[in-house]
Amino acid sequence: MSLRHDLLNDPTLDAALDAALAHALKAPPSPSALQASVWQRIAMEQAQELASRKAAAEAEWQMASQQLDEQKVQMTRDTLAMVLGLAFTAGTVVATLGPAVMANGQWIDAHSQSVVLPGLAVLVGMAAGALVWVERLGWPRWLRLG
Amino acid sequence: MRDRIEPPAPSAAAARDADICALLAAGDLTMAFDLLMRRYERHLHHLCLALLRRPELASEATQDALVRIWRALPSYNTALGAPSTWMYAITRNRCLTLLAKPGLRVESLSDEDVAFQAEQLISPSEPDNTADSQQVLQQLIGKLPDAQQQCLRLFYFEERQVAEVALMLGQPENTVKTHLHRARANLKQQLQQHGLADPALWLGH
Repeated sequence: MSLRHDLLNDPTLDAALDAALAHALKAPPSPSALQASVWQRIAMEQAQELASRKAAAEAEWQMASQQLDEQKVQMTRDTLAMVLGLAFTAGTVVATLGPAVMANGQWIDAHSQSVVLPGLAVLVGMAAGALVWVERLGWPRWLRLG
Repeated sequence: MRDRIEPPAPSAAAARDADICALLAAGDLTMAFDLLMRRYERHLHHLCLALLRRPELASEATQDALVRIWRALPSYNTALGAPSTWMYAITRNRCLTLLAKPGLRVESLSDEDVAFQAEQLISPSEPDNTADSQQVLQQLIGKLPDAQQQCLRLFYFEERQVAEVALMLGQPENTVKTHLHRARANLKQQLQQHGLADPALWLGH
């Protein structure tokens, strides 16, 4: 038998090596306060996550709020333009058709027409504008009940 | 207080953590994690130490692995295996990631260094020679292939429980036994090569 074979099958050497390995490879103690450190890290991570979620929610809310404001300004502008346009159109219609209608009906003399017609045109125009404003933006705050 | 655990058969690994599975099923993650940590902290640290071989790095990796386990705990289900198998896999992956970083791999000593230490052991040139048998043995272990070293270290860390070592390394028991057999054969061969075949030379302790 070769020396190598003898060595590999030597029970004394096996036992000696096992004992020496057991001594050399003793289980080391766990790091001190490992559990406390892990819980601390977890708590820190959770706090950071909470803070970042809060920051993200706040940023989202601010963006949404800004968008709403922009939309409201845009809508107010559109409505104002529509109100003016409608009031002007209504006034023009009244001013154009009014004299003929009044002359036919003999409701009013020619002298008074110059005062009544513009007044009527303004009233019709304002009524049409107010209707559009209320429909799109609601009643003005100072006219709301409660 | 740490729980002492019995060596498991693969199917028994799940059974020994039935209490933890029950807590998880009840949604008590904190209690389940606390129990897992107390039961496996020592084993996870052994695994990190066997894979990384550097105590300070192993401590950090154990902590990292436990934090990852906590994060992944809500998504754990028994289809992923026994809790211990799952935890060992997370820990192994963490260690492998660390080992993949440049500069973190532990280099073993050169043959010349080991030969010098062995020579000092056989015939010390100075009376206050610091070379001792444990040091030589550690160096010889350090020169074994990684797989054999990992099995050998864990085998002794885990009080010679092959089943637990297999579970920790995610390998079949027979593979672990083969690595252990080869590691011992390699060690004996190296001891012989360095003139240390006589156990009396390195069994001074």
